[in-house]
Amino acid sequence: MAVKQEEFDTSTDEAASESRWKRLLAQREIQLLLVLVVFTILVRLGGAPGFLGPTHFPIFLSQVAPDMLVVIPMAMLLIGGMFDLSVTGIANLSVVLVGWTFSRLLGTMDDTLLILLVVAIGLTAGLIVGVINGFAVTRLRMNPLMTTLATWWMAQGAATGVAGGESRHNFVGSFRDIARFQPLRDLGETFPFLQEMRISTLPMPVFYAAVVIFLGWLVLNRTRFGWHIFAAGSDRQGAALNGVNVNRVTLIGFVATGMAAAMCGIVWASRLTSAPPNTLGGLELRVIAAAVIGGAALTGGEGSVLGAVLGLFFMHMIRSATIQLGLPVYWEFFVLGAVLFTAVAFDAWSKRQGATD
Amino acid sequence: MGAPQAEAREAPAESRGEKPLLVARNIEKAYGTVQALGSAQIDVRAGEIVALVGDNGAGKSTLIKVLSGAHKPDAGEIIVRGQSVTIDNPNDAFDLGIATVYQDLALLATRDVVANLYVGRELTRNGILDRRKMTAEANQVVRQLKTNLPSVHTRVRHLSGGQRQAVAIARVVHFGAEILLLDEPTAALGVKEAHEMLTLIEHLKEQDKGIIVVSHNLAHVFRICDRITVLRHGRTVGTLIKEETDSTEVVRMITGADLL
Ligand SMILES: Nc1ncnc2c1ncn2[C@@H]1O[C@H](COP(=O)(O)OP(=O)(O)OP(=O)(O)O)[C@@H](O)[C@H]1O
Ligand SMILES: [Mg+2]
Repeated sequence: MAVKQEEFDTSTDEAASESRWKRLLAQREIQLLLVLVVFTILVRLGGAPGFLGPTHFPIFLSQVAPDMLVVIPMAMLLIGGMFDLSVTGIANLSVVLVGWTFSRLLGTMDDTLLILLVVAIGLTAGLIVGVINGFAVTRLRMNPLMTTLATWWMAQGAATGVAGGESRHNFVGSFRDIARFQPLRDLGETFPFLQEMRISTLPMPVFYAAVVIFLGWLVLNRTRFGWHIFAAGSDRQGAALNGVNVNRVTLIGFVATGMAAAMCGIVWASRLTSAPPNTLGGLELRVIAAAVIGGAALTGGEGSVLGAVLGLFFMHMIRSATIQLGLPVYWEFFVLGAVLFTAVAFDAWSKRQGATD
Repeated sequence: MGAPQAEAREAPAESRGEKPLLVARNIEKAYGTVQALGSAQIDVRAGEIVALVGDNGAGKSTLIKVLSGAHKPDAGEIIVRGQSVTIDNPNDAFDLGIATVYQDLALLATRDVVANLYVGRELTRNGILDRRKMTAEANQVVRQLKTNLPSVHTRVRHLSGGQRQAVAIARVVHFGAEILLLDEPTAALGVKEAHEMLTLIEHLKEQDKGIIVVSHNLAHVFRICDRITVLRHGRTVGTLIKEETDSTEVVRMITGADLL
């Protein structure tokens, strides 16, 4: 590859290096990164000098992390030409099931075992809804938008039904560790270099998110399955004619998204040690918008893991900045909507120019 | 009527004592209530080009899709290298050495040339995509076909019709299939590009491939093919040897007009 690449790239004249800059700047991830940097500078100058500073950054990451678990598989689902609205319902159902299981079984078994059981139950709920979504869309050929709207409401209804108006607070104490800072702080006592690298100041979900980001990137860009996701989203029929099992790709995509949403719910339950059925609100639109801002096409076949990560950062940065700058929080949605509008408009514009490549 | 007379002159490869690479007999296929194929026959030997002709909706693409594993036939028999086979999906066809260029090309517009060349057949090393090797080989294939692509990392949606056709053909050639099914490979091409495509197909014939080409362009058909199979309303009405016929006769068989 290196040799052949050179034939195209290093034609040594200025035109070539100029076009390389152009190509780099045409990358959505680079554009977004620049926007984030400029945005941060503006917010810092505009009255919040601590924005994303050493104190704010770990807290910021801990706020982004649960969404990050969901945005990665959601971006992959979008790249595969699909769509899942049901994540919010799944996450809330998972929260409620965690609280319900604790309240029923607390004291009947070993705490660690109970925590494992609780996590397993939450994830299973995500698995089941994911399988239903995948089955409906692939076998029954149901429309993904309507299917996942329906399963969203069913999962949400099940959540409020199981909760039955109660909010449960009797959790096993060590369940908190799932979303806490403490485990890493303890580790930092033992390994001082972790403290120096500030890693020990980060909460656990940041590491789950890091693992999910890495796995997502690896699968999407370095495995056959990842290329099959792109193929399925790019041209379902064309991919199938070339031997890609598009139904398998789709089913796995829905299951991964469902389980990630369930994990997001488990993390939230751990953070709150409380299990209201409306813990997660707007998760579905937040992660879909983030993936789209990051370059994922609703028509499928395009997008990236890095783009989704940066897109989600941007959404949360806007929220954080609104608060830190003391702007009326009521306007947050207006700003988010405007950003999404701009991103989609920019997409359409650059497609007309044939510039995105 | 034309059909019986034509059948009398049918010249399948089998009857001439040469072993065909692929034979399809009495293929039937219905889409719901539409009987796309009634009783279709075709066969092809190594180093031979068979043209498959017929009016719009005659069932040519359907027959190609049955042979490529895209559709399952309702009835009929497919024999590859003397063995009766069932082709349930595109991977079965690939394993039998059958490769197809579809009428609509079935390319992935948002993906680059490399990804399109290898879709469904990606190369890996230790489970990880071997992108270096795929890119190197893609460059080689593209150079062999003498197509002037800007780069193998160009997305297909930025390519011209001729360049897309070249990518679709490259995919078929690259994996060394012996039986090539080409559904209207020249339809989207300009005069010069069509000419180049025909030369390429002739070149593949010299490499002993068995090739079935669907085309509406009888000039193209007569330039490259050895035999012509005519399909009408989903039935094979006859197979003619090129030297023994002319375009007037072929047109009559296509349309069902009486032979003079
Ligand atoms: N996927 C499908 N679903 C339903 N009917 C179909 C489908 N594909 C083809 N048909 C019908 O089957 C018949 C044969 O179609 P086919 O595409 O094989 O024709 P063709 O000979 O390739 O025509 P053309 O020269 O226009 O490409 C037509 O009547 C067509 O309408
Ligand atoms: Mg056709």
